[in-house]
Amino acid sequence: MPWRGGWLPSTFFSACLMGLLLCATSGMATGHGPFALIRAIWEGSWGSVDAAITTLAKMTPLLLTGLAVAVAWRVNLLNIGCEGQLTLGALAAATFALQAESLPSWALIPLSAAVGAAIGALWSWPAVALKHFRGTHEVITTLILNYIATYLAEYLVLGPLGDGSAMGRTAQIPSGAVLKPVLSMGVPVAPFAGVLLCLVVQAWLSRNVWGYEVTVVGINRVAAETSGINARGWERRIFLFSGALAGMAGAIEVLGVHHRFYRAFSAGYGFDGVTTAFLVQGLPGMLWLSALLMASLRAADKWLQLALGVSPNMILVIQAGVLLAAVCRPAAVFFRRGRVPWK
Amino acid sequence: MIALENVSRRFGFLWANRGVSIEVCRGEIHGIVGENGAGKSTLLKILSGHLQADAGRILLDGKPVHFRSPGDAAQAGIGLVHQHLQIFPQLTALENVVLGMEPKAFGFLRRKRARRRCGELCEIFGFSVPLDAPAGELPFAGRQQIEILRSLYREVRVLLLDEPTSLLSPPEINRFFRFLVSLRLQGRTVVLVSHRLEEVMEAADRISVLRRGKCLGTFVPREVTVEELAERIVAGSRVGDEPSLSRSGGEPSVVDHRKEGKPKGIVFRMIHARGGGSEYEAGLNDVTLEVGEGEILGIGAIVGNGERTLARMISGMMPCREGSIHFLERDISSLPVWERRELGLRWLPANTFEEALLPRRPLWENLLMGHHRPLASRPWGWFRREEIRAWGEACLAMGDVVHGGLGEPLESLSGGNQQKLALTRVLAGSPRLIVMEQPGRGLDIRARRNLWERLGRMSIQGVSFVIISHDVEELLSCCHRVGILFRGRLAGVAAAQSVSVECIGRWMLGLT
Repeated sequence: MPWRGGWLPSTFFSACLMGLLLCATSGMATGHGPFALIRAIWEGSWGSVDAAITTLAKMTPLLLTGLAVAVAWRVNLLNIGCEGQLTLGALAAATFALQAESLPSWALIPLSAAVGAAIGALWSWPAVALKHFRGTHEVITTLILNYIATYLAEYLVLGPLGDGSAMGRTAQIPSGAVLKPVLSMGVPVAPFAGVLLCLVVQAWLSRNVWGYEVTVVGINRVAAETSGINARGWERRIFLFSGALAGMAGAIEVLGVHHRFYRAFSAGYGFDGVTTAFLVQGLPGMLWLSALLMASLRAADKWLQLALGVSPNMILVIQAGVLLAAVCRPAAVFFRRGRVPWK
Repeated sequence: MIALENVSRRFGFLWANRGVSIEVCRGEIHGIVGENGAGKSTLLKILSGHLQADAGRILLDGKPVHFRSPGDAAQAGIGLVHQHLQIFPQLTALENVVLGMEPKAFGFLRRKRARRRCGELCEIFGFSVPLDAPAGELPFAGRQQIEILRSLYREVRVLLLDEPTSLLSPPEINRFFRFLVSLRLQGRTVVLVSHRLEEVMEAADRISVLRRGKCLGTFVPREVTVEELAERIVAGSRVGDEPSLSRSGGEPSVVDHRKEGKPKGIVFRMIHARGGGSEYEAGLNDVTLEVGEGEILGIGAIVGNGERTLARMISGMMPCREGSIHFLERDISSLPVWERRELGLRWLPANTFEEALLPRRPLWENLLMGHHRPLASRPWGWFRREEIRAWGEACLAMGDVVHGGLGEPLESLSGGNQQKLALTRVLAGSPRLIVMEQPGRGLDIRARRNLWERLGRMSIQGVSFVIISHDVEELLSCCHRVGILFRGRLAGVAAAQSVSVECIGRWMLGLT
């Protein structure tokens, strides 16, 4: 049968190996023994029900920003601007929820998320438009748009959209807009929906005509145009979709976790999306794996301080090591000589 | 000098080479001929270390050698010039040449020294490559010279050439063969793979024939005729009946579609078109031409005279700066490529491997491009797998493509079969006008004949063609009308059956 599913990217394993190695060596260096750090990370992320719930909650934005980066990469565009799209998406969702308080919950939640997504898409549009009309590289423009978004949001939340305090935050969103955990024990649903979305995107890319067109554009733009595919159109659509995903990530953070927008909202989720995507070589169907890893690391940072007295910044070191291993793709070189890294 | 002993190589269930034994002497030009997929390229790749033989051995100067990589072979003085050129388009010609063996000091490229050495080589062999131009902007002949220079720069003793003349125009081919002779005078050895029998007969000292991966023997050109050789290559089919589509002409017999009388309506019209052009290729300069329904219009040109620009402008890859293009009574000058395609205008680029195919993706994905929409369910567009498989198999069978399954990557096909796949894809469905650049590239005699027969049948059904080729005699024998481009101008258009070869020759050189 000529259809092949995605294989587990070897990148991911080499990255995990690198992470474990780093944990072990730094554990020994700090005098806790090689396994102390690994155990602490495990306990901090999955050691108790509360910890597991926190980890799952942290997965959602990583999944969405990871997917945003991964789909854009499918058409050879690198969306570094998730951070800005996420920030403005979150602010827009919070503002909308506050304004449309009177709507019933079943309408308010999806509409707020949609507004967040729309603003995220809007914030990604200048990048792709500039690329198409002036040839500006999207990495530069999205990076600059990040700064503009951050300061714009700060201005808005300190002024017209804030709650009047000097804290730089909006008022708490109405309870009707709060995304409540549906499952028992307070397990959030958003991460599962996120995984489902990733799988749908993967299926769409590999078994749908439009997904096929996107794939072809990404691999050989000239060939795509030769065979009548509107390459420019797909680049625009996919990039806007990417922005929308990042904006939605922000909206869900507001609706499900923080219940308000405050300045410096994104805790680096936008950039971690890049890591999440490249850990599995941009395969949407595998994102759950890398998001799980990244979320576990993120969730464990406080615990590291409590249990071992190690600075939470240690997690950043490990993340960096993991990403480095993924980008170098050593395993891909050793085990899959001459094979394509991209499915 | 080099001896291959029982070399075998298998891809899946397909034997690309099976017990091949060939001996190449020092300072000779050794030709290797065979059908598409006969294993010629594989043999060269084994010799140059890109592939490893499953069995058998290679003797170099009597000593068995084992090349584990192209680097090993280069060390031993063997260099390969690929059928699909391996060029870095962003780097300059000079950088492309010295790549991998850069003269350097403290990690910096010593440009002066590199340039002096390259300049010397160019002078010795009569190449005229602009060394500072980005390689991607050079015409094919220039890029090929870069790759040959790369081998010479590394002081190779044995130069392996895979289909070197497939994209060269006649004067360039002559220059190329003079170059081969100069190599021989220096005592270097050349192994030459080509489909053009006459060329090989003329240039080579000895010729080995491959068929289905086996070597059928080595011949001296003086002692065999082209017909005898052709018979060995395709054995099993009656060669005598086949029209000769090769360089030296012969009586073409595939012209019956030309007797169908005058073309009916005008399908395509290009009026005073200008545009395109770079330092290395002429842009179009006031070109006006018409194509009738069911007409095959051949466009011939010496490389770089605007023939690529013409194809790209018709297909929409390049904007038309002045003038207009009309297709089916509609002004399409400003339509993008995909809209033109939806109207029924298709384009087969010259470098199919780079411009029309996805080398690492499975065959079915390659085949589907451009035909994908009708094969998906509505309205959500999910692929109907069984239908795609059936369609793909039928399509490949129609194009006579030898393959190992729809799921195999395109790279696993031989060069000729890749071209056949691209051809069958562009011909499938219901096109109205097809622009083809070098459609016969890499095809053997039989495949070429099949192609022209298919074009003839389609033209009778009303499909029009614009065929751009450097093989003018082939155009003359198979097209309704032939036009010649010279420096971006249409030097002349005439009915193929009435125009003389001398007249065409004058047009090509810009004489009136």
